[in-house]
Amino acid sequence: MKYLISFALILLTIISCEEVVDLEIDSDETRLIVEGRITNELKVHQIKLTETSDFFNPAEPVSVVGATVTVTDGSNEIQFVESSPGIYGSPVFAGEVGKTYELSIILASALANETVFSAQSTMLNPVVLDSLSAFNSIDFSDGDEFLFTALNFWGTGNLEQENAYLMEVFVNEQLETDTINEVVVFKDEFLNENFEDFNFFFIEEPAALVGDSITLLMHTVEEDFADFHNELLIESEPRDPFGLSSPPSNVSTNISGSAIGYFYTSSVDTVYTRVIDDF
Amino acid sequence: MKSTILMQLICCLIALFIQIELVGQTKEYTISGYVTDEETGETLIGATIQKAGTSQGTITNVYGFYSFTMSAGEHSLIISYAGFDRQNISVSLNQNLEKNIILKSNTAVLQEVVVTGQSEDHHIKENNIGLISLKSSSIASIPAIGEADIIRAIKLLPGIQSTSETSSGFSVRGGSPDQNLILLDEAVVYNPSHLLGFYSTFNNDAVKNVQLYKGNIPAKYGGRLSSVLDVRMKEGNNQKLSGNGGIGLIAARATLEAPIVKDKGSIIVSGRRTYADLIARTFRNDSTIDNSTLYFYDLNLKANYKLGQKDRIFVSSYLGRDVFDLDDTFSLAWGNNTITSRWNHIFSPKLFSNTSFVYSRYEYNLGFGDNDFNLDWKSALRDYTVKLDFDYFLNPKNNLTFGIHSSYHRIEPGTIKVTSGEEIDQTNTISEENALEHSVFIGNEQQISSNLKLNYGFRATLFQNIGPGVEYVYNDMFERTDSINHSAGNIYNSYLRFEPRFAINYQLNKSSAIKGSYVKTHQFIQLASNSVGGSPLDIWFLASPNTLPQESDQISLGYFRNFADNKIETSIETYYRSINNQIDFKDQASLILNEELENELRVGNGWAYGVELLLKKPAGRFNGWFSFTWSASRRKIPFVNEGRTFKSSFDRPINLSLVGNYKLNDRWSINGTFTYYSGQAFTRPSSRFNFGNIIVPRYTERNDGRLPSYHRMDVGVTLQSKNNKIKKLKGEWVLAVYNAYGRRNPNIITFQQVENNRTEATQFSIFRWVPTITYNFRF
Repeated sequence: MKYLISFALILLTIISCEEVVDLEIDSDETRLIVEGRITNELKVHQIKLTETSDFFNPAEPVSVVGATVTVTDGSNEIQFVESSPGIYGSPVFAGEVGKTYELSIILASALANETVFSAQSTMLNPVVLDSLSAFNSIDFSDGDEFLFTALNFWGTGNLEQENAYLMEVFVNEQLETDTINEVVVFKDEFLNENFEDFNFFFIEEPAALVGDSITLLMHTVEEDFADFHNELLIESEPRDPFGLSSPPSNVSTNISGSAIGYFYTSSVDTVYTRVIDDF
Repeated sequence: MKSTILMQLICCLIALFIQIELVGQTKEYTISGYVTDEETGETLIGATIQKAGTSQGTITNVYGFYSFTMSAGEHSLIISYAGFDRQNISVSLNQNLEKNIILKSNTAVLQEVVVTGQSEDHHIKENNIGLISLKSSSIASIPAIGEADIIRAIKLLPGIQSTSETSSGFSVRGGSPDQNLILLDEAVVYNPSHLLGFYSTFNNDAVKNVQLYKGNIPAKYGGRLSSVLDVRMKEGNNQKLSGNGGIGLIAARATLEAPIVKDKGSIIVSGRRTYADLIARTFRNDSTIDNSTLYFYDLNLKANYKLGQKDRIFVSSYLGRDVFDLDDTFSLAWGNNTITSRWNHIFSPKLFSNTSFVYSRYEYNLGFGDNDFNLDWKSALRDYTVKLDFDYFLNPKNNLTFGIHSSYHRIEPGTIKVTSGEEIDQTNTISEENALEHSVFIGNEQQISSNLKLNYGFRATLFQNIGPGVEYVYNDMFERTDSINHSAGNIYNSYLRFEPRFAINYQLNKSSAIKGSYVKTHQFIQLASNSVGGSPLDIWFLASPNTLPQESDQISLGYFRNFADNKIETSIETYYRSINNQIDFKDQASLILNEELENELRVGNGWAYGVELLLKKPAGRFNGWFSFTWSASRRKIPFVNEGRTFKSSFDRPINLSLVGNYKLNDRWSINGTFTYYSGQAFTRPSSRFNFGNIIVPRYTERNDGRLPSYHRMDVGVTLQSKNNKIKKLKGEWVLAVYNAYGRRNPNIITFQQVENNRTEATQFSIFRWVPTITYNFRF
C-alpha cells in the first residue's frame, strides 16, 4: 500500500504541477481529547486532557486545566490530581485484573457544549512472557549494508479470552516506541496460540548496540483498542490519490459525548534481555 | 421455484407474441431490407423510412435493417438520413418485397458536420428522452488532446459529468462510473481508460455510431444502474479499398478497410500507438524518465460477410494494452480484450434476429521491487455471453424486440507472488468469484396515434452465484461466524429481479413534444472504489449472499421543442432517481487484496435529481450545442458518516458546456469548447488532535467540502488540403490546444505535515496548455 501511494505521488509529480493552496475550512467546535491508561503496575497512572486545534495553523495542543477527574472500580473512587497543565495523576496504586474501571471527567468550562464525560474499560488477564531475544543482524538487500536489531519473544497467551496486545519497547530504559504508530498492536484472533520465537519488532536507524538492555512491556488490552489503533494509523498517514485508500473519516472513541480519544486498561507482563551479535 | 416463475414468464411472452401475430393478420405486405451508404457500403443505423404525406414510418435498427408493413397497392416512400441525400422511391406492393436502399452522402453541403444521424424531426417524434446519439464524424469535430475521443465528447452533454481529469470514467445523473454499461459491439468494456484517462479505449476511426441511454433504457439492456453506452464498430468499406490515419505529437493511428467480396463482405483493421514517453525523454533530461516507459496500443478488427439476403455474419475484436514502467522499480500494465461473433438472420420480412457470442476480458498486472525482492500482483475478469435478440416489425404501429441473454462472469481478484532473487517465497491467491446472469426481455414501441408513441418493456434477470467460491457468513456486528467452500458448479445463491421500463412521447404539434419515462434497473457486479480518481487497479466484485443487488428507479420528464424548421433543437429534461442497496465502504475500509471485501461494505440508499437543458444546432456552417445541468446526488448509509445524509462524490451541482464549430470556407474550420463544473466534493478536515504523540485529522462530514470549480477551454483549427481530383489522398492538419487559457484545475488535494507540526494543502493540477498538432489523411 505504501508503495502504491508513493507511486501515485511520483506519477502526479511527473505529469502535473503542484502548488500549495489555501483552503477554506469550517472549523469544527473545539472538542475534548482524552488519553488515559490504567495498568496493573503499582505506579502513578495518568490521564491527559487536551483540545482539538486548528487544522492548518496549530499551536501546541491546548491543555484542559481545572477538570475533576475520577476513576471508580465499582467500590473505590480514585481521585486524579492535576500535576502539570492537562496531566492528571492518580495516587500510587495497581489496577486489578477482572475489574471494570469507570472514568468520569467534569470540565471547569464546557467544550462543544458539554462538561461531563465518561468511559469504561475492563482489565483482562495478562499474557505470561517467558523470554526475549535481541540480536543485531545486517541486511544487504538494498546494496548498502543496513544494520538492525531483531526482537523475538516467547510467551503464553490466554486462549479463552478475546483480547488485543500492545507492545512497548525500551532500550536502556528509554522508550523506543514513543509514538503510538511505533507501538505494535494486534488482536489475538490472528494468533490464537502461544508465542514461540515470535518476531515482533525491529530497531533500526540506528540499531541498538550490542550489550544494550532491551525491555518488552506486553500490555493485554480489550479488543476494541486494536480497532482504534488501526484507525489512528490509517487516518494519520497520507492517502492514495487513486482511490484505493479508504475515504477520510473519523477515528472511533470510547469516550462519551463529543469527546475524542481513548481510555483503556491493561495488564502488563515484562521481559528483559541484552542485545547480542548474530553475524 | 424461481425457475418456474421464469418459465411462466417465457410462456407469457410467447403467448403475447402469438396473439399479436394473430391481430396482425390483414391484407398487408411488408417491404424490408437494408439501408446503406453508397460510398462505403456501411449500413446506416437510424435511417428513416417514411410513407410520403403521412406520419407513418420506421427507422433502421442497429444492423441497418428496416421492415415496414403497408396495405397492398402503390406507395411512395421517403428515405432520409442526415448528411445524406433524401431518396424517394415508389413501390407497388402486391407481395412481400425485399428492397435494399443505397443513400448518397450529401455533397451539396460538402462534408458539413452533422451532430446526429437520423431524420430532421426525430428530436420531436421519437421516444428519445435521456438518449444521446453521436456519429463518429461529429465526435471528430470536437477539439481534443491529439485525437477525437468518444468519452471526452459525451462528457460535454447534459447529465454526464467527468469524474476526474485522469480517468475516462464518467458519472451519469449522479451515479458512479461503474454504473455505466459500456459496450463495444455488445462486449462489456470494464475499463474504458487508456494512459490514465488521456484517451478512452474507443478509437474513433473504427467507430460508426454511439448511443448513450441515460433515461429511457430499453429492455434489451440490463445489468447496470445508470446508463448504457452502446458503441458500434464500423463494418468496413465493401466497395473499395480505403483507409485513413493520423500522425500527431502523442500518437499515431491507421485504419484500413477493404471488401472481401464487393457488396458481400468487408474487413476493417484499425490500430493506435502512443509514443509520448519517447517525446518526454527528448524534452526532459531526467534519468527517471529515461528509464521509464509509458505507452498504450490498441487494435480493432472487424469482418463481415453476407451469406445471402437473409444471413450475415460478423466477427469483431478489440485488443488494448497499457504499459507503464517506472525506473525498473514499478510496473503497471492493463488492458481489455473483446471478441464478438454475430449472426444476423432474417426469419421473415418482419422478423429479424441476431445471435451473438461475446467474450470480454479485463486484466491488470502490478509489480514493484528490485533485484532482490519482487512483488507481482495479477488480476483478471472474464465474461462469456450468449445473446439472442429479435426485432419483430409487427406492423407500422408496433415494433417488438425480445430476446434472451446469458452470461458467465469469472473474477480472479488477485494472485500475489513474492520473489526474493530467483526463489518464489510466497504465492497468495484471493478466492475467485463466479456467477451466472440470465435475462429475458420484451419491449414494444407502439404508435398509439399520430402524436402519441409509447415504448414499454420488461426485463427479468436471474443472477446466480456459482462455485467454486467461498461464502462468508457474518453476524449483525459484521463479525465472521462461518465460511463455506462451494465446489465447482454448485449454485449457492440466486436473485431474481424484474425491471419494468416505460416511455411516452406526446407530440403537441409539429415542433414540440412532451416526453416521460420510468426505468427500473439492477446491478449485480460492481467496482470497489473510494474515490473518483480512477485507477487501472479495478476491483470488481459480485452480488452475493451478503451483498444484495443494487436497485435503481428513475423517472424523467421532458419538454422538447424545435425552432426554425428543425434547425435548432432544444430540450429540458428533469429526473429523479432513487437507489436501494446503494453500497459504500465503511470507515477505514481495506480494499486491496482483501479476501472478505464484502464485509467492508455498508448498504443504504442513494438518490439524485436534476434538470438538464440542451440547445443544439445540429447542422450548418455553424453548428454546436450548449448544455446546462443542475443536479444533486446524495447518499444515506448506516455506519458511513455516522449514518447522516452526505453528498456523493459525484455531486457537482452546476455543469455547463459550450461546443461550437464554424466552417470558414472549404478549407478552414475552427472549433472550440468551454466546460464548467462545480468543484469536486471532498472530505475536508475541520481540525486535528494529538494522540500518542501523533497528529490525527478530524472531519465534520463526508464530502462536505468542495474543491475550486473546474473550467477549461479547448480550441482547434482544421485546414483541409486542397481539393485535388488527381490525387486520391485527402489530408488535413489539425492544431488544437487543450486548456487554452492554462487554468490550474485542481485534480487532487493532498495534505502534508511540514515543519513545526504545520499541515499544508497541496493541489495537483494537470494538463495546462496541451498543444497538439496532428496530420490526418484518408484515401
